[in-house]
Amino acid sequence: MAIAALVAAAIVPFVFDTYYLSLLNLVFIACIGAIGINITTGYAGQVNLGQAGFLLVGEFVAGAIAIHIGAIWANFWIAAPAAMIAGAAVGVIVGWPALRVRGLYVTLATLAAFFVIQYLGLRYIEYLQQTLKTGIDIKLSALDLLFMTVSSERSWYYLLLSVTVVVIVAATGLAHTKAGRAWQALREHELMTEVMGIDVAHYKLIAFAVGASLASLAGMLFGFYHHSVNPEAFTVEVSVQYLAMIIIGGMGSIAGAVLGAAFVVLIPYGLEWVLDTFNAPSQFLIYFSAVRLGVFAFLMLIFLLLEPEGLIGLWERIRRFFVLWPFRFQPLEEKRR
Amino acid sequence: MNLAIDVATLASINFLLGLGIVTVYKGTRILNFALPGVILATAYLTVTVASHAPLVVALAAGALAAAALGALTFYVGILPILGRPTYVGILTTVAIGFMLESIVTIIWKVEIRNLNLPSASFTLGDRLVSSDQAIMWMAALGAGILFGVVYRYTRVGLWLAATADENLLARQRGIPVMMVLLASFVIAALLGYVVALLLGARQGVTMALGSAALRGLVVALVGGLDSVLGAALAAVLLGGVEAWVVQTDPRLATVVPYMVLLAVLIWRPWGLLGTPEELERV
Repeated sequence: MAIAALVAAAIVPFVFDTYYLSLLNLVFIACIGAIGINITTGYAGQVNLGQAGFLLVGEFVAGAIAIHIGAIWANFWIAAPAAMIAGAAVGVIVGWPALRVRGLYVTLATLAAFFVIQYLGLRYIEYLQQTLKTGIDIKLSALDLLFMTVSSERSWYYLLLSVTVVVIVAATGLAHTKAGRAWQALREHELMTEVMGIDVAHYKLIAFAVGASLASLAGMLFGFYHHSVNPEAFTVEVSVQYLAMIIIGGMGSIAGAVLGAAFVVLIPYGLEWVLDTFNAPSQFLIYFSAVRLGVFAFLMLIFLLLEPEGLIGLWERIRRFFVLWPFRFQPLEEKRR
Repeated sequence: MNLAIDVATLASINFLLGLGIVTVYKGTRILNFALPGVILATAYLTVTVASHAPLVVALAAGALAAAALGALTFYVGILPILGRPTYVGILTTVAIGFMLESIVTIIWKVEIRNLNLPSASFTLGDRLVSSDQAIMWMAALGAGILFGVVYRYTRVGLWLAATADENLLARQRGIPVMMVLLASFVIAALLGYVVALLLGARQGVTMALGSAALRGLVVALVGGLDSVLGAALAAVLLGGVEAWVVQTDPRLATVVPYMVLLAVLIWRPWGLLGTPEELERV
């Protein structure tokens, strides 16, 4: 099945035109970030309102390499590890308060960290403008893979597809390691986890580091994909979008994160179409980002209240209904979960 | 003198916002992330009504809307998820806050509106002080004393503590737990509304009110989530730092409270005067 899916994915670029490919590329980038926040929030239960800040870190690493070291060094094989290491480092710093306090405080610490990162980013851009006379944003050249440069939508598609698959496989593996189980335990009950002899502080920091490094990787790819580093693209709204992805998709599930990322990236296009066809008042189109934010917040609320396991939970229930039909419950001895 | 007046004003705003957060936290152990949205919505509503009707009507409508939105936050965001992990409560209030913000943007189109409250001015030292600034100081002082006394010496304060501590036991002792929870959300929203009015009168009603309102969360956390005195201390501290930084770098001034917050969370995670969080029982 996995092989069939990969083969299908490989021939997609020959079927769809560039518009749909560019949508898919955005979905892939969002997937990487969503899997990251799924580790911090979905598995370890540390609500992270600063994902946009971590994305920014990745973008800035890409920009800084291109500017300070030389454009030739800003290739994928250097930028990706650099972004991930920088992201992990920032994640550890931001997650530090999480060591000593629970839930509520951590959320605000991540939000605070986002504002600080955004401020530093803007100051950095300002500094570059004054000293190096760059524009309002840092321009990035096409991403270099050493044996080829990634410039067309189709080559981006293959690159992002492979990175996403690697991240999915790695994250799935991670969820089944000691760390993965520790995260899920501390999400459910922190004190119990501690009593069981698990070093809660240690695993919380790892969760932040891994989540932030994936976000940073996504940010770096986003920067190269758009050929620019622009801190204004990452607002609090982006953080909310990432939270919405895993809530809608299903927290603590990799498939859920992927599904949620696709949903959140694609829904604005559907929304635009709906507004268009129903001739919505013009302010809905002018303030489309606000409409989008409202819709995501609304969906977040609905899923939290009515379907806490997200789309993946919904799918699971539908599947079970048909698999078990005409019965409603599984016989006891066959119950797996 | 100039600096002192700026600090007093900033600190008053900070304190009133922080008090709203503390009020909700004391009863529910939940951080109300919906407050910025409530503040935005009520401020814009008041301005709109004020342009068609007498000011008193507008103020009443705003207060009513604030109370209603506070209650809405409770009934939609908190009541259905009581008993689920804390992070769910954070997320539902975040969602409600952003929904309100989005609705405000669509209806009022990020316009800058002016809220004209009757005002006078007087001089203090060599500085002209407007009456709304003075009202702000008085409101902060009054609310601080009132809430401090209520929490410490009255039955209601006891109810709040009991509700937060042991929900079941509180109910068995006949404390109207639902009422206490609902009331704390409504009161927090009303406090937010007071700030919305005072800030709106001073710098116009803009979308920036929402991000200003986030400051309340910072104040409450820096001061210690369950301490009124801590909130006051944090309000003065943050106001002081901000008033001082704003002279050299206005942009840094908007970020500096968050830097203070990060520093405090690392140094004293439970805030300046908060009670160190006791361990949950298994």
